[in-house]
Formats: sequence, structure tokens, C-alpha cells
Amino acid sequence: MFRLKFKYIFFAFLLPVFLYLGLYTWNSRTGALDRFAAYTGMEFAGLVLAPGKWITARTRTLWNRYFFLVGTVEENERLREKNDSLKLEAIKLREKASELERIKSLLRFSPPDDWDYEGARVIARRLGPNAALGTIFINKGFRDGVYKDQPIVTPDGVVGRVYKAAPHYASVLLLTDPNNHIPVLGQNSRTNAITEGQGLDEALQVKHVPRNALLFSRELLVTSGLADVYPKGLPVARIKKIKLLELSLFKKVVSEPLVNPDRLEEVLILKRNDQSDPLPLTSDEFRILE
Amino acid sequence: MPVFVFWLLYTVLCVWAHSFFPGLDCFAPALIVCLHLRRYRTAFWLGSIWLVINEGTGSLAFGSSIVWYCGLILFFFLIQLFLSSRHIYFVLTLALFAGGWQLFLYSSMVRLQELQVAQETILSGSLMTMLFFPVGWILVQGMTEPRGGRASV
Repeated sequence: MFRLKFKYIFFAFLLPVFLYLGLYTWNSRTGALDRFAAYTGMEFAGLVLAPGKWITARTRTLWNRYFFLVGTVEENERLREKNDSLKLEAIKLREKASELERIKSLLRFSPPDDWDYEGARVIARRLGPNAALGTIFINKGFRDGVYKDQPIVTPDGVVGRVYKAAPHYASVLLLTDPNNHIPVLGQNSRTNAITEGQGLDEALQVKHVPRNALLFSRELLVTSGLADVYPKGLPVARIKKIKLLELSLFKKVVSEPLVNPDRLEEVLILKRNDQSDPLPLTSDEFRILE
Repeated sequence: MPVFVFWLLYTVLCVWAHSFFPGLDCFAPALIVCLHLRRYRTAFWLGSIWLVINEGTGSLAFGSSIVWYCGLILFFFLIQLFLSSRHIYFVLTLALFAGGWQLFLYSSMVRLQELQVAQETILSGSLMTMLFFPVGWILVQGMTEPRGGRASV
């Protein structure tokens, strides 16, 4: 009787739990399942979303045309047609001009020495129930030389770093996410600190600034290059508030990110020129190197 | 409509819905409807595909979706012991559980992986899944349940 019950408990509960824990541990060591999910699931989602972006843009254009035509029904037929076509032309040109302006500003960006850059489009933001972190999806993956922890920027400042890369798509951990810590220094004061996100549309916390360290109000914070992820000197945020706490050894500093990740349409991926192996090291490879 | 095309279209629409409503899981009600209609093989294949999509697009380490779907399936069979799965209370209870389970599971997973995520982020996703569950159930069941002796998709 006891043996039967034990068998039942073992097969119904313990065995699946052991299997799951084994799978989880094996994956945290090797990252094999994470890679498999990125290469299949993320790739599928990217394939679904990328053409949809194009359709959305087309639909918006059609809707705009229709909207403007409906608004001028009462006008003289000939004048209305001319007016409409001119309006449409203006809208198209305005859209093109704004896109051109954005692309021109991307082209004006000069990467730091030993770094090169490549443009990418944002195709989505957080996706699915598993998307707990603040991320965006871009239309470039490891086939385009994108790999984990690569810096993502715009001409205005740092956006974040690559979190996961699939063959043709990648997700980017935004600087506003609480799990993204960026080593920075004050552009004028040269005081070292670390920024920490507090969520989308929220200011960044600037941590580990000693009480007696020099830091100016409205000072620009740039990457210090210490973590070997971001090159030195990229603008990250501007100091908003500095407060001295009575009991703390550190200053309470709040800064404003220079980039609004919610409005991003295009980004730049920074690539090291001397990058010989663009693929990230697996845990096993890392252990061997150690 | 061929079954394959229906589920492919459903999956594509769900991925789009996920991009508009972060945290929502549109696949969950469809998976449970497949079990309710005793289409276990379809549930297995679709569940595996959706699991990979959720894991691939998500930002947590692999494994959360396995527990998420296993919990839902387990609870589906448990409530079936007390309520008929054709009853509206069954769907509402399952929706309530789905919301609570998602909140508990992802809060635990985030803590386990030592990540900092605002509780509101997980809570909003759970609420969306809970509210969508009955709607998704009705939609998918309406399109997949056999009618007049003939199976639809």
C-alpha cells in the first residue's frame, strides 16, 4: 500500500519537479534552452511583427488620406481635389522630412575610436507574459553582428544594451530598467557613480556618490567605460536633483535620461572594430577561459 | 478553415496583441479550451510552440512558462472535479486563478532570478490575463467547438 502511494507521489509530483529543476539548472549553466527559445520563439515573433509595422504605416497613410478627403466634402470639387492632393503631398513630405531628419541625425553621430555603428529599427516593446523587464525589440540579430551586452545608443545618448540576440532580431534592456546599471562620471566634476533605472518615464537614480564628492546641478553624466560594456564618454543623463541626507554617507542624486525610450523608432548599435568573435561566450567557454 | 491555418492566424494575432498589451497571455485560454474539448494532442503541440514563443520573447530565464502552463492545466483538472467545464463559474474561477497564478509565479521567478521588477508591472499583466481569459475562452470555444455534429476548426 505504502509502496503504491509512494510510486504515485513520485511519478505525479516528485519526478516532474526533479526533471524541471534539472532542466532549469542545466539551462542556467549552459544557456542552451535560452538560446533555443531566442532562435525560435523570438525569431517567429520578429517575423510576425516586422511586416506588421510596414502594414501599420501603410494603413496610417491611407487613413490620413481618407480623413483629409472627408473633411473637405463641402468645398468646390476642383479646388478640393487640388487642395487635397497638396495636403497629401505636404503630409507625405513632412513625414519624409522628419524621417530624413532622424536619419541625418543618426548619420551625424560619430562613434568613439575603435567603435563602429549600425542603424536598426525598433519593431516592438515588451512582449508576452514573460517580459518582466523594460525591453525593446530591434530588427537586427547576431547574423548582423549583434551580440549580448552590445551598447545601443542614439545621437542624444545611451538607450541600453543588447539583452538577448536571435538570428535576425534582438531585445535591448533599456537604461530606465532597474536592472540596468551604467557606470558614469560627471562631465565636469569627473565624479564616478552608477545610474540605475526606476522604470519607463521615471528619472534615473545616481548611486554611490560620496557625501563630499563634487557634482553640479544640471551636469551631464557620461559613460565612464569602467564596466567594459559602453565606450567612455557617451552621454547618459543630466542631473536633476542633488540632496544631502542627514544619516547617509552618500548623496541622493536623481537624473533625467537624455533619451525617451518610449518614443524611439530608430537606434544605433555600437560595434567594436577589433571584435574578432561577435558571438557571446557560453558559460562553459567562460569556465574554460577562467 | 483548415485547423493549421486557424491556429497559425490565432498565434500571429496573439503575438500582435502581446506587443500592444505587455504582460498579457492570449495563448492560455486557447490552451485550456483545447483541453476542455479533449483535443490533447493539439493542446500539446500548441502549448509547446506557445511556450517557446513566450520564453523567446520574454526576459526571464527559461522555465517560467513551463510552470505557468503546468499550473493552469493542473488547476483546470482540479476545478473539473467540482464544477462542469461548461459552466460559466468554471471559466470565471479559472480566470481568477490564472490572474493570481501569474502574479504569484512571476513575482517568485523575478525574486528567484534576483531581478528588480516593479510589482505594478506584474500586477497589470496578471489583471489583463484575468480579464482576457473569459473573452478568449468564449472566442476560441465559439470558433473551435463542433457544431451540429460537424467539427469547425
